[in-house]
Amino acid sequence: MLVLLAAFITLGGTTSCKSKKKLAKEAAEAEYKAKVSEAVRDLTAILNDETVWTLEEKENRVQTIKDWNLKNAEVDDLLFQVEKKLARERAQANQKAEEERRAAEEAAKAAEAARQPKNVLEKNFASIASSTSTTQANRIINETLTLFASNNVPVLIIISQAGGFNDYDRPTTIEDYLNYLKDQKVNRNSVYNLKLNDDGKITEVELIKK
Amino acid sequence: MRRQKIEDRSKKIRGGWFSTLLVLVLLLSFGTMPVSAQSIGDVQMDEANLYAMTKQMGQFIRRFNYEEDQFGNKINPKDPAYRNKQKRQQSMSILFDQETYGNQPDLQQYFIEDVTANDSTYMTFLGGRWYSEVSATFKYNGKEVNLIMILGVEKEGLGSKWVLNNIYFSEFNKLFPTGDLTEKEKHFLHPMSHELDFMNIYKIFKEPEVAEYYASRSFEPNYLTLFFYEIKKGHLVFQHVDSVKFHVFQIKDWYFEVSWFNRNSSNAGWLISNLIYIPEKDKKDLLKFYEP
Amino acid sequence: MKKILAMLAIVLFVGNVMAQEEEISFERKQAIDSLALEKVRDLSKYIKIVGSKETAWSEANRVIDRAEELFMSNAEIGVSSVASNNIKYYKVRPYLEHLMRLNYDRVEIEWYNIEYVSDLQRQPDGTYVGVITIFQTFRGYDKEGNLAYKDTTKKDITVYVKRKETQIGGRMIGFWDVLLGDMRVKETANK
Repeated sequence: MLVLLAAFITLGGTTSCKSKKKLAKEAAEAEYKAKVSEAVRDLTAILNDETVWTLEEKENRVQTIKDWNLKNAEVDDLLFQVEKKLARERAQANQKAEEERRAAEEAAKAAEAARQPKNVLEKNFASIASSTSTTQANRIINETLTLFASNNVPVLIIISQAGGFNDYDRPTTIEDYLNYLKDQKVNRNSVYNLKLNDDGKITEVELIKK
Repeated sequence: MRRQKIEDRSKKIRGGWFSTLLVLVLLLSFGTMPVSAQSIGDVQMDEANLYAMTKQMGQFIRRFNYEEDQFGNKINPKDPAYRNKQKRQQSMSILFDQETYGNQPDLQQYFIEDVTANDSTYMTFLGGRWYSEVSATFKYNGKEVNLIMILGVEKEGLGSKWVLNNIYFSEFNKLFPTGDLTEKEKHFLHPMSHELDFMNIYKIFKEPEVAEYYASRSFEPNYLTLFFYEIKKGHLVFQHVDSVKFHVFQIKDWYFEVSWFNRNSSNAGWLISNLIYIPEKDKKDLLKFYEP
Repeated sequence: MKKILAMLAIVLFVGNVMAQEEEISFERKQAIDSLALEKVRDLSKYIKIVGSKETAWSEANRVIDRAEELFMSNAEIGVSSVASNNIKYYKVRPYLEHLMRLNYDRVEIEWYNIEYVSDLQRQPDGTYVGVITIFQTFRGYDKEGNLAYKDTTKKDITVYVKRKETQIGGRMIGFWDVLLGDMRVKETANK
């Protein structure tokens, strides 16, 4: 009897246990199905560009789905396609970011270079020579002269380097040279070398025939 | 052989009266007034003509030697085009006044062949034996007269300069005419005059027009000295230059004259206006006038 | 013996320096030619500015100063017309001032694209002398805008080139001093 009881209990227990497991299994199955359908939905959306997610969000989503480890043929197939797509997008995004970084760097460099006295001079020489009015030219001349230690800073012009040494034109002063550009309206020389003092003002200019 | 041929052909052209003609031609050029004023005739003159024009005597020399291209750009002496024989031959005719030498293509051609032959001759600024003839107006005792100055390039110091070599002024020449020999022979101081304290010397001064007959055989009137004397005395006063031309004896066996041709044509500027074949040995006497 | 060798070395050195002075390479000569030509072009531009009726008086005077600086102090300008061989001589400043005061309402000065640069020859003191030839057309218009005067002139400009040295910033700078000398202007009648 005891044995029977025991058996019963065991059985009974067994019976009750069995139904719990079944429930759990069903729940798991439901959850799995839900995840599969969610995964299929999201992956399809990503594949068809129907999401508003950023590339990063998409990548996170894919990672989550992968972590689910659903082992579903449809999901795996979608994952394969989506991962390929996202890898492409990532590469493009990286390239774009690199380009932007480089452009920014160059812009910064150019801005820095533009502030270099040599380039300021080159630009101003050209502007004076091509200015349309005397007033405009005089304004640039006065602006340019502020870069110099004085209006009498010597300007040397190299006319030839044949024979391995410099042949110069008669030395002039920066003020005369700037007025010369204004009168002649021709910018025949480029900046070859500058000397600056401790205050960053130009104290000597060496030009060379273009 | 080739030179002989040129000489023969040249003689044929000139006929037998070579020296007479030569002297005549050379002297005539002094007497005549400039061909034209030295100005650029017409404002219509187009750029192509200005390029072609031999604009400076220096350009004449560079073109003669082919040391510049047709645009006047100097050629590097290391460049094979520099003094290139073919190019020289092809381009030299632009240095002739074609109004004169277009009608005498033979002489022009002989000249070009000769100076571009293998023993070719080049003209150089400091090479000597080329002279400038400057025809100018002066006032002589208040009256306007034409006078010719012959200048030559003389080396000095680190470089060179133009110097006065001779003067041609008809008033001076009149003072020293080439006298009649028999007349000349009548004028002398006999060899014993010294014993009489030269009491006969007044004869020299009695007829001033023949005073020079009493001078040494080696006497040659120096016109340049006369010229400076008249200038210093204030009898001769410079007015202005009328024209300039050049006489070139530098090229072996040739003489040519270069004059300024002022016309709107591709044949203008400094051009050969007279060309004569003169063997070197015959140049000596002629040069006495240009470089006494 | 050593002394003699040293002397010889000095003589050789000096000789070498002199030879260098005399023989300027084609490339350097070209650079000097261009420099001389540049001075002549500068003058052309100054003449244009001074001649233009749109140039303010003060500006024209400043430009005349600059033009004058291009010339040797004793340079003269000899002008002749087709009508007369007589050369009229001007100093640089009066010549340019004369140009400034010309009584036309509008003036056009054009330069032909032809510039001829002679070889440089040395004069006895060693200075190089050259001549640059340029051509100019001048047109003067009256109040009604009619052409009142027109001519083309050949301008032969003397160029003096001298090697000089100056000290700048504590070092010797060897330069070519190019100055314009006498200028021959052959004027022609307007036809």
